[in-house]
Amino acid sequence: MKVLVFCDGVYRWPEFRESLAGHQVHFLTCSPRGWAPRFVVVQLVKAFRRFRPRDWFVVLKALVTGHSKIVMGPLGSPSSLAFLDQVCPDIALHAMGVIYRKAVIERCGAGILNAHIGRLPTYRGRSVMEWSILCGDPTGVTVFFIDEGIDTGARIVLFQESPIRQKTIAAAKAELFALDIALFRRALDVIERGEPPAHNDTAEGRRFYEMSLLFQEVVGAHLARSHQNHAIDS
Amino acid sequence: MIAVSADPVLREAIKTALRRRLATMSSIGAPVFMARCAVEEGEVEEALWFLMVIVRPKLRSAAPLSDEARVMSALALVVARCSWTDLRFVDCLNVLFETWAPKTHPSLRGFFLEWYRHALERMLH
Repeated sequence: MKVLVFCDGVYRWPEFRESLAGHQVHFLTCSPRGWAPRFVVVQLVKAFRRFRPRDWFVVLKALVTGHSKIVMGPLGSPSSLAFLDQVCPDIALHAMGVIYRKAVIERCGAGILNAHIGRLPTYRGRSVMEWSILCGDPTGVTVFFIDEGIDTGARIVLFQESPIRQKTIAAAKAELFALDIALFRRALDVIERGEPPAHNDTAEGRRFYEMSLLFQEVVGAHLARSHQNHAIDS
Repeated sequence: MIAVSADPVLREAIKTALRRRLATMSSIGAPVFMARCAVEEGEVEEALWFLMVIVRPKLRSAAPLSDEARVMSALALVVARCSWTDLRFVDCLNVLFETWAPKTHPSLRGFFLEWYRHALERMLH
């Protein structure tokens, strides 16, 4: 499949490319504030930290050949949309902190997959990992096709349960977020096999909002205790 | 109605946290009397969304609130729905309390604090 990755950072291109071997992969990275020196510095610093020597070659080749693009402007800019028209992807992956507008979604073939760190349709919105823990529900990641709403896209491709073993909320979230590439790969396999998606019935769930510091303390203390117990057990 | 209730393991810890929060608040006004009436589920969800998505950023940046009456009415709906079967509502009040500086819309904040205290007492007693 021709896969387009909406990626926050060029520094993530090589890991996506490796994981999606067998697919034709394109990347689009945007600097929402245009020519922002901070954006350039962050990209370079992170790339220097992560890249192996051949990664530089791969990234430069992708840019020079026009397979991938860095746009100094927001995702909805004419330059981004022109690139989407040029690539014409079969499917796209979300790895960028933006909300997608109709014009972008419509240019992405089957749609844009998102890896959401909560179980859908039960947990939509913010702080869903923390809310799942507070309510004693399984934690994990749902891969689904987004729409313009907040986690309301109708087609769920898969849910991967992932019990938390970390002792802080930040570490637990990082662990779940880090599953995105592997789960995107699995989701693409599911789609290629023609398995029908599950229905994201929003009436069966709730929209959640950022959790208070008070409740975050409760969840954080619970994680620390569980981590300690787990360490003792093992 | 879909429950958003606490894991039994965490219920005591949540109670303790809410008690701790209540202990930091002193009564500053008259007792609160809130009319309870049946409201549509969508209306309550809308009130929660309005407070968390529209009002909260304005409180954080001390920006003017264009419609104080709507804020009051949303607060009343959320306070009335605070219970152990859906913790999102009391947590909305927790978040507003943590966001709302004393000098920002002080008269409205006075009402909010009384209602928040009332909601906490109702859940804890």
